[in-house]
Amino acid sequence: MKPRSSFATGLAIAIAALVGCQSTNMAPIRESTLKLEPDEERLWARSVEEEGALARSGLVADLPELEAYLTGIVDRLHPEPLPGGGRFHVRVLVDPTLNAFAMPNGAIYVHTGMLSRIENEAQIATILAHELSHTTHRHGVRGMRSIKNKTAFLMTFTVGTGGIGGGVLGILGAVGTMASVSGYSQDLEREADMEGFKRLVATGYDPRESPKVFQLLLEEAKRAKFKEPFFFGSHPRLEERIASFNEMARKFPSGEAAGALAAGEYERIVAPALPLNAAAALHAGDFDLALANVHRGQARTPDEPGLGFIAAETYRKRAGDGDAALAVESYARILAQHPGFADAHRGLGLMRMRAGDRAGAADSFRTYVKLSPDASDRAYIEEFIKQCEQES
Amino acid sequence: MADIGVPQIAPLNIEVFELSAGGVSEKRDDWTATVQSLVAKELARQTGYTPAPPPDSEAAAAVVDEVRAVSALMQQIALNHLVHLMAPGTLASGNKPLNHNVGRIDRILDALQVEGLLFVFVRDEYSTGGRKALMALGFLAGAATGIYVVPRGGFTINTAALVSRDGTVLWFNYAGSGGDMREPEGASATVKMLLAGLPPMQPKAAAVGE
Repeated sequence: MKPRSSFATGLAIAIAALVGCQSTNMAPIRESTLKLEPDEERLWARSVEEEGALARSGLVADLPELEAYLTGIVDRLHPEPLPGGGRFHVRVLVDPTLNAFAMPNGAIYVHTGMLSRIENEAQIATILAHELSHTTHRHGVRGMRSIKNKTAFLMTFTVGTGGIGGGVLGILGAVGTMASVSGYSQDLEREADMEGFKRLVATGYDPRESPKVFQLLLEEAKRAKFKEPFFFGSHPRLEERIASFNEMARKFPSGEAAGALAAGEYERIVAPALPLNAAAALHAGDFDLALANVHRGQARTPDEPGLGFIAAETYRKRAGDGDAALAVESYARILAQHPGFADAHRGLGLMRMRAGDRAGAADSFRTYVKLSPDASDRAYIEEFIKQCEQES
Repeated sequence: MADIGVPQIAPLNIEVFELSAGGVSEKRDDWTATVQSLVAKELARQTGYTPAPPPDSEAAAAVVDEVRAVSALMQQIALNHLVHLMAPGTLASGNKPLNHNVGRIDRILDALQVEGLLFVFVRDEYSTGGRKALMALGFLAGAATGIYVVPRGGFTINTAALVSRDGTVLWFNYAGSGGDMREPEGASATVKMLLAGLPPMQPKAAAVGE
């Protein structure tokens, strides 16, 4: 077996040299004249395709003032144009999860779930500075090259060792490669933290707000008891990053929060995203988050019917102790001020039906159908009306 | 069956990939553009159908979302057909012949002024030099050790489907590779295989008995 093993290993080494590896050591983007590498150009083309797919998905919020505000923060953090003359641009995705991400071409997406947990501009600037560093430090192409290099090595090793314990070695190799890939990704995240932090401080934001972002996210992750699929919600990493940001913050003097809006103004700008996120959270079954967003929005606009309706719907769907009364009260409050709010009649009808008030339910449902004759659930509600009339 | 007049070739759903040494597949825009161009030319030449209008034309722009939606459905239908062919009985429909309908496409056909659409779906993949070297290593190492571990080469999926005004998939075909589709000869041979059995079209007037 030994000569065979030596032969295979020798061949593997020779082929490893043949398959070649691409460098992951790339200079950051510092000027718009930088020429992208061919594989990087392809990644940028994929980014444009993904942007198109997201735009068609219906998930991008139509909130131009908020988008312009977030893009303005990014412009202050990174005033230079990107290669090819492009610029960073921020979009808001209606999604209650804690996430933000940057594409290689400078498209940055922030979830409403993230915006709804952030307290002020310095905190959202922390997130944006981190994300834009993924683009400026070319993490997309570096990450892809890293995976290609590691899989090429693994494949060479597996093929070259063939039947000499190849199965076991192959499995060990795969695990090692996966850990290595995961570790490398963590390195890139650390680099983005560090580079983003430097940019944040250089722009004049208060560095003491940065660790608070991750503390908020950690508390949120613990509250929801979920395994966040995203980097921002990973417990060990969040704790490690809070310590790391605290350490970095100590090294820098307090900034003047240049260009930062007061927390109250941030509330005004982010307010339109709150009902969208509350509705998305309700749809996802996260009742606590939905209500937290409603209450945050109602602190500014207590009589906004959209927020009141989401609260009512949340109480109705949660159906816990005392929720029935809260739901009925919420629907009634909306209808007292907005009697033409069709969906509130529908919700009230469902609550009345649940309570056994058939006549009241039928009345609410009839008003709903009258106000909303083209409703997609009209046939369903009309069936309820029949049932209520027969039983009352 | 072929009573839908002369159809038009729908915007092609073609993507071409490069398979790295380690098995990572990456889309190549330059190869995709080449194959799209060659296949479009061959489809028009071999069928006589009118090609899809340019994406920025008024007719195409008017129905771009609908065409994209039907094309996405056709992609799924093509994959279903492949599963049905390669692993019979594994779909929920069991061994029954597949009978797909994508819903009426009147709005698209009216805008394009045709009576049917030919959808072509191609996914093609070519190995890098490193991948080919590894495949060779697999054979050599196998000869030395007695056990062969040979990485797969690039795959190819080529399907074509004809859809009528009422959304019925009138005809479907799958073909393997007829050669390197980045070259005119390979594209021509593959399209010929793909169109094998395509029913001849009758003029619309004759089809409706006018």
